[in-house]
Amino acid sequence: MAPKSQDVLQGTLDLLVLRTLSLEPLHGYGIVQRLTQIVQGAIRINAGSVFPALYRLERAGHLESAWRETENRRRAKYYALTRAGRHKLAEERRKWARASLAIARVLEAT
Amino acid sequence: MPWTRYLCRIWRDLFRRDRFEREMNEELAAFLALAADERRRHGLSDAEAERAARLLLGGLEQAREDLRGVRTGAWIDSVLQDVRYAVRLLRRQPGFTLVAVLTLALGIGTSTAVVSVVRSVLVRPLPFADADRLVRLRLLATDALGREQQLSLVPAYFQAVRDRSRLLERVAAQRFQNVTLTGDGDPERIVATGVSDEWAETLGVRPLLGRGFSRDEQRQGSDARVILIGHGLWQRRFGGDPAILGRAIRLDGRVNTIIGVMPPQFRYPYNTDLWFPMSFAPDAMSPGDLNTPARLRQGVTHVELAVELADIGLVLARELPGGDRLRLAAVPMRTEFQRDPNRSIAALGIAVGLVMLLACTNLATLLLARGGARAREVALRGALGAGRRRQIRQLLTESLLLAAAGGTAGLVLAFAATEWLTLLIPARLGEVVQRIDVDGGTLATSALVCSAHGRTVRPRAGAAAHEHVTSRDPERR
Repeated sequence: MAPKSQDVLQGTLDLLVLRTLSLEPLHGYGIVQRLTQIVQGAIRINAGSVFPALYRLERAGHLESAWRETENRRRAKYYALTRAGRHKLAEERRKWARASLAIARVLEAT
Repeated sequence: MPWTRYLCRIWRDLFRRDRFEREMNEELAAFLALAADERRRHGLSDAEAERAARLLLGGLEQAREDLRGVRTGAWIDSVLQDVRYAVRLLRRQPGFTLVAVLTLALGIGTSTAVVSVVRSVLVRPLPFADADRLVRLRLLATDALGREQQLSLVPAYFQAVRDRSRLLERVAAQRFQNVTLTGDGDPERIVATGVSDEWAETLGVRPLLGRGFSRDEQRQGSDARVILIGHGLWQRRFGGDPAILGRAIRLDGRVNTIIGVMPPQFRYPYNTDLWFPMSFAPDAMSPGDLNTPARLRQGVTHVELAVELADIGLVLARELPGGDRLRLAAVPMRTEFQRDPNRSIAALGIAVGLVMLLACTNLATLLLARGGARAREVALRGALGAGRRRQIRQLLTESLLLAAAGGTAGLVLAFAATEWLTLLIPARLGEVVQRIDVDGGTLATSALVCSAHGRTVRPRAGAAAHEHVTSRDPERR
């Protein structure tokens, strides 16, 4: 059952995951690692909620997955964006931009 | 998401559970291995590296539960879980379950039975073709005190209306009497009705077997010695013998030939079992007491007919003796049939509503008491991480299960009670209501009652249990 309203954090996590995967296909740990590096500890990336996000996005048709070997010879499931996933990313970016602009306006209003 | 894809996913996620679990476990293991690898490269020992990897994931079992939760159709799984739990619980308390189910069964059973009867009487059509065009002719007489009385027609009036009315398509007359049937088996008193010509056409009925009375037989009247028998009599006395036509039976000692069998719903008038031709010539010595059904022409209203009958009545008043105090009127057949029983059926309906209400109140009390006793269980489940919604949903599942069990038992009861109620129906009504069925509509009504019951009473009890716990929590700690 898909949640009816996603809270801001969960929605944001989807956006971050989609964005990360738009650069190259990655496995779960790779995504966590990449995100942690980029945000430099400003946001706590919870590995326990990255996997549910991946599963959810895959079931919604935004991601596809395949088992592959990693560079240090372990098998892992790699996730990649589908065409629908790219649309979803673009849409989420627009939403985020609108939302952050709106918040900035509120904060700067005198 | 198109529903076919949704179903495919449900299939993959839910019904091939092993595969889902295997893949999930492999994926999580890969995560832990990759995370540990990296930490080892940074110089941690094996044990430290693995511990750090698990911390990063935030608990393996929790992660598994979360992933199972986002499966497509995960709700089906949790509903089944609730049902299994509820069944276990109810089986552990057979006393409570029995009382609750019986209470519900009684309430639902009786109300379904009565709703069936009411529907059969009030809603179902009469066993006549195009019954809305049928009326019964009556004479209204004003007595010395100014009170109005309804009288039956005498043959002269019947013939006059038949000759003069332009708005009535057909008018028939019939008179019933008791006769004694002898022959094979015990003698039996039954109701026999003598009918005029055009009788079957007026009422819009046709024999199920055999033929109606011919013009010739009608002219001869009862001397023709031919009869039609009712379906009930045919079944009861003759075992539904298909070779019944042409058989001779004795009525009041005289031999008559059966020429046809009427359809099962038809016993008009007054639980008639047998019909014979009768002539209603105005010069007959008979005193009257005719039952006179008539059929309106297509498109004629009852008001138009009333006007015409009043005119005919005025003419007759001059021609016939005593006619000046009589008025002709027509009563729609439907109201004829339904006037009397209405009140008693309404009373029955109210009584049954009260029974249902009592049953619900009883059950609600029972459940509330139990809700208090279950506070501990609810508290424990809450402490283990069950959310308020899930807890209430579980209680709801339990109550729906109870309601379904009660409803099923209730329906069995309803079928039995309907049989029994049919015997109680006033004989008058028996003409119309040959068979009272528990039909689809009534079943739907009961289903609604069941689920409404499950939905209203229990969640409140459940919520009460929940609040009970929440409010008592602080002092317990």
